[in-house]
Amino acid sequence: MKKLSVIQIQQLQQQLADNDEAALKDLYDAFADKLFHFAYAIVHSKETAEEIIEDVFIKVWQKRLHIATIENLAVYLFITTKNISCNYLRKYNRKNICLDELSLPYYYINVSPEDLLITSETLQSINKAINKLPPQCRIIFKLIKEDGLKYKDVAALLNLNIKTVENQMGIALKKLHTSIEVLLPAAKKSPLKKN
Amino acid sequence: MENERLWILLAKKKSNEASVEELAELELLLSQNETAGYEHEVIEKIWEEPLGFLPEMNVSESTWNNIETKIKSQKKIFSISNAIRWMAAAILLLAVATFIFIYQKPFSKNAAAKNISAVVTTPESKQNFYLPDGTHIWLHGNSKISFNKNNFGKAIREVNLIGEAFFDVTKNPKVPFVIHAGVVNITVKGTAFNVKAYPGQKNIETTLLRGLIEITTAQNRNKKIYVKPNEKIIIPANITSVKNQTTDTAKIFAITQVQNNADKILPETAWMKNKLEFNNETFEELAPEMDSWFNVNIQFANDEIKTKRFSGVIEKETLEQTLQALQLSYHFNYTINNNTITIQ
Repeated sequence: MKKLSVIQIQQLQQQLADNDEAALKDLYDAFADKLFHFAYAIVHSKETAEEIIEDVFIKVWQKRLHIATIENLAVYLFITTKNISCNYLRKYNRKNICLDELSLPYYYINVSPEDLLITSETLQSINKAINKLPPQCRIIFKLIKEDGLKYKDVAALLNLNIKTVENQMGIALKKLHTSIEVLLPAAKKSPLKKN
Repeated sequence: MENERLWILLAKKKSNEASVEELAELELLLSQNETAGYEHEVIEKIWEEPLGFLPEMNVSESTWNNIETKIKSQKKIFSISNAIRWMAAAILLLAVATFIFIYQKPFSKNAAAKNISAVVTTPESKQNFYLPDGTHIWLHGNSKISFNKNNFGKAIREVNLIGEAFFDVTKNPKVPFVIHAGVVNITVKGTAFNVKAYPGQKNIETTLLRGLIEITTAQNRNKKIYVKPNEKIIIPANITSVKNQTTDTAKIFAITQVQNNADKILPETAWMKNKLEFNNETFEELAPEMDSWFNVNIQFANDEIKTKRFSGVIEKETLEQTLQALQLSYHFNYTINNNTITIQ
């Protein structure tokens, strides 16, 4: 999955308005997995989440003229995904997103420990810590760190106070810190340095 | 507490949410808390690295294929609807040309042709406008209102109608308002009513909401029929071919009572709203409304979906868009064969 710059996204929005299907594919490649994970977190079913992703991108195509005027497309896509996901929830008489019961995939830091100048043990410990974060904390961490959303956007998306988002991000980093700390009692004074 | 503050600030710094003051506060906290130095470094590095996930959490390839297929099929419909639009434009031009051709002769002598004002709608368009006397007219699709600019409002207010229109006539007892619709002449003095007189249809229908109207037919101007509020009169369009002019009125004209509750739109005038609203209706109830809205025939091959309930408003949406919107609520499939839609 490639990451797009703000300018690239704006260009794609323009191309979409000009009926360029390739632009839709580029947007899809950049966002489909992220949105899929988000939808899956809410509806707890991969098949349903995939249907939701179809609906989201078909909607983007149908509204492509309107899409060109949207300031922050990433936020629009997440909100659209949430709305469609909530429609699916309503179908099963479950009115709201339950932030304590999100289905989240296993995430890991996708890099070798050597690149970070840490031991593989430390990396494992960090990965464990990420996946042990409470669901609400984990999804906030994912949306902000990985998907690049702003605090206020995540607050709006999840119906939370912005202070809650701030605190949850603090908790996430603190837990990661603890996971490193327990492994490295000796390293505190002499940071590990590799040649 | 202070320790937590440090991580909140670090998170803000890494997500570019921190203010200058908060960055300064973070620096201060870090300098006071030497022990956190190494972990803090590792966390800063981790932040820059992408998160991976297991391959089974990749969205499957068929998802994009499905999107592509749906978009392709929509494109086809768009180009068809474009073709229809061009055809409609062509037909309209032809209609206007025919109108000019037909009316040029009789009017050219007194130069009346120049004084004819006409409002014409295409099958998809509706218009609402005011006549010089303030009478408000909603003109339905595929219809035409014409009147003589010079004479209108002098001794008589005369308009010609082809198609369907709703009239809200400005009251003026001294200058009668007369509508010529096919074989029917309608004389009014301040009322609101709907007239349906499409060429080719069997009947001419008039529904009255307010006031009183007087109806005469072309071949018997002395026979006057009065229509009272919330009554609808249906007159056969081929009444001129009825040889026996003394035929009992009751046999020719059918006057029926229409239901008019304040909170409900009359089906006769619903078209004026230019939208189709449905509120918690079953698909079975909704289907006939969609039939007349889109001019199609919806059939069910699946009894279960008939009972599903939908709410929504259709304004400019195409049939496909509407069906797709409905599909978001309950999953169903459909096939389109000419004008017949089968819901599966």
